[in-house]
Amino acid sequence: MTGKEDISMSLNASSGLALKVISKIGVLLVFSALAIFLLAGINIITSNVGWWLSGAFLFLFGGSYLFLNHYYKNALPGIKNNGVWQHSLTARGVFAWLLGIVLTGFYVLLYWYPQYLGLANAGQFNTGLISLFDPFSYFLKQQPASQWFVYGVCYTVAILIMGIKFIIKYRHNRYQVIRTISVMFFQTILAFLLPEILQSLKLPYNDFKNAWPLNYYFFDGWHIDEMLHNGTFGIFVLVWGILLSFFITPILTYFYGKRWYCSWVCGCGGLAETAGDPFRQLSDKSLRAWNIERYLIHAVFVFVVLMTPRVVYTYFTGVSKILFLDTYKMREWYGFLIGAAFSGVVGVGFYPLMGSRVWCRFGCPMAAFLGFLQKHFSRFRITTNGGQCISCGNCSTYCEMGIDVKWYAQRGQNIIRSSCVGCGICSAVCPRGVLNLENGPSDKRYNNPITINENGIQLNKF
Amino acid sequence: MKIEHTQPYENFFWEKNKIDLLQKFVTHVDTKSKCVVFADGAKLNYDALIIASGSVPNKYGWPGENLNGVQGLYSLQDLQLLEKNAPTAKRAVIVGGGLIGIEAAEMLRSRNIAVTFLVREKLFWNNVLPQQESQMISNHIKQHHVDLRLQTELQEICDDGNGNVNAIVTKGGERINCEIVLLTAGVRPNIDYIRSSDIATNKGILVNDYLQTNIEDIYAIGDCAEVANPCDGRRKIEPVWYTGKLMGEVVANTICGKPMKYNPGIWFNSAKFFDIEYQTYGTVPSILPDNMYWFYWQHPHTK
Ligand code: SF4
Ligand code: SF4
Repeated sequence: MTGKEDISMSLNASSGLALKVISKIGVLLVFSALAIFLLAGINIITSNVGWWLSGAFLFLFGGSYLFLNHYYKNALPGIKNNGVWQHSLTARGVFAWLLGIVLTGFYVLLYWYPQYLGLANAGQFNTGLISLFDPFSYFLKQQPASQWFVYGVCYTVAILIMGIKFIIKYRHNRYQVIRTISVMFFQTILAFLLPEILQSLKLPYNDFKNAWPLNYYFFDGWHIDEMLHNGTFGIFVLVWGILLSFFITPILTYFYGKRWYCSWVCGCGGLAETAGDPFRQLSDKSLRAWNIERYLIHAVFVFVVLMTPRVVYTYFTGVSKILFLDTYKMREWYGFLIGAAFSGVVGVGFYPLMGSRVWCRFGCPMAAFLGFLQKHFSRFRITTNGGQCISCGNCSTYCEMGIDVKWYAQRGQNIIRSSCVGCGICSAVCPRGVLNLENGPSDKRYNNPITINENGIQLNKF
Repeated sequence: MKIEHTQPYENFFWEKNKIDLLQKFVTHVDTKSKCVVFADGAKLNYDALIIASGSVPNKYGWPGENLNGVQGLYSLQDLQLLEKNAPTAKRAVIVGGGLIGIEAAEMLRSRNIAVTFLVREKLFWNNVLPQQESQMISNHIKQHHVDLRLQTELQEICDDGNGNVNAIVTKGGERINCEIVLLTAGVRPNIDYIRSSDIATNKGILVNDYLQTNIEDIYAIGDCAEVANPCDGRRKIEPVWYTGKLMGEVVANTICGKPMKYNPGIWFNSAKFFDIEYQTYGTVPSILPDNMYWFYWQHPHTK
């Protein structure tokens, strides 16, 4: 006993008026920041944008801090998912639909109508939202902002703020804390800052963690040209890209499963794990959804795998019509349907309706590739501690990939599924400590160290 | 979570595996003509009968125990009733300090309903846990803002005049206003409907090592079964989830022609008290016998 216990007999353990006011101020600040973005978007804020932008960031971070600090200060560490099925925002209520529409709308503007976000024609100045980010962009790379710069900043800020929230929420769980620091690091440094710095050095944009086939344009003609025409740096990008996709990926996946990428490094995964965390329970767990998943994701993968050699062939021969299909058209369609509509609009826009991993689960060719490796050439599995599962269903509910974890756990079977991103949340929410993410030797990967069944308790030799 | 999250399998499972689910109340088992009789008078013949009717919450004849707002917490119906009662409730009183009681406390706190928890013992679960562990859990309960009343028993439950509960009175004479009373003082086998048949019962349905009752082709498993000769360190009635599951697997072997004895091995169990996970392997006595000693360690930075 340390004598520090917070033992309150008060009716609702309310934490006092002062703190409530503080958390309201926090919310107010966050909304002020959003208001600044909105006002800039409709061209009301046009001067001193540097100050406005700094103010917006200050409000955003400060407000979130005040709110989170209040929200979690009096809560003991431990899994709390109270009310996720009661709140409108996290249970597909009105707020969820509103947020879904706003996000989807933002992505539509971003991909197809950036002029409405204020993107200037060549030779003119940015207006609207994009102009708000000009000073920051000049600071980093001496160029005006583009819609992609705005997007990159917002994306990174979302991962940072929601990542901090995630860390506080799961602060009792070391795996979750380290994993989240990892996604925050990779997003901020590799996906955001480094490419901007490269551009300021007049080198081509490159995100060093974005591997083919997720990076579907890696083998496109213009990209190969870009790499070949940028001296040593370009060659380095080319060699690194090939190494990453065809050597590093299989090796790391063999030892750790696809989690090393999907829930530790990847940007899409990073956003899903942080900003998407409040929506993870919305993924569909039914067998029907699993069937759709298998067809869809493998179809996308096959498409990419067929498309890439054609693109390379076209690059070297100049012939673009192969077997009646035009390589450029194919590329264009992939970019539109999969690259933009699926991964962006549906992938993030539908968070509040279908959960945080729609793209990762149904569409990402990288996930399909990693999943294939994970299923057949990996040590990774989730073990189930004999038969100690009580079929409570927490694991399945909070699995963002829609895996019915309980189905395996209650039978004492190990979970080896190509879609599992190894986020470890099923293990964290299990009230019986049943689930463990393991990387032991791959023979007997399907066996459990302990089995408890009709024959009693057995310890199995490995 | 929603109901579908708590079901062991998706609904198509039963039909796909050629299992007919009948939702009916059994009122009598006719062992002579090998049939069960339902509340609506219909009958169903069987070749083998496996009884797995679980438990019902204990009631000890407290005055007012049948008022509206007074309930147990065992079945889906109980949960639905609680969902109905909870939104208007300000305070709930939980009577009986066991595992169901603490789960109920946690559920109610998650909805911001104030909870008073009456426990007869000196400390929470003191009749199962050794002193120090009991102390630790009791502190933890208080940290979660539950008004834990140790060594306090229920005297009566009061009526607001319309058949709804509005308060309870403890044996010490204290009156506590509340809108919900949860009776969680243990469970007993749900076998009242069996008593009219010639299946032998004691507290539960008596079964042998093969989980067979005194009548061939009738088996009993789970909470409602009373194992006549349990193996070492095991109790006759063990109302926990995994024994029910093991028994099911054993009987399945037996009725499929591979007779199998029920042998659960050493006792183990697990639970969760708010944020503390509890696991036990083997029997840990709550009162120390002469020839044993305890080892208790607590991380110095924890409460
Ligand atoms: S199975 Fe567990 S570790 Fe895998 S994705 Fe689902 S919640 Fe994450
Ligand atoms: S959360 Fe744990 S106990 Fe609950 S169903 Fe999953 S594995 Fe079983």
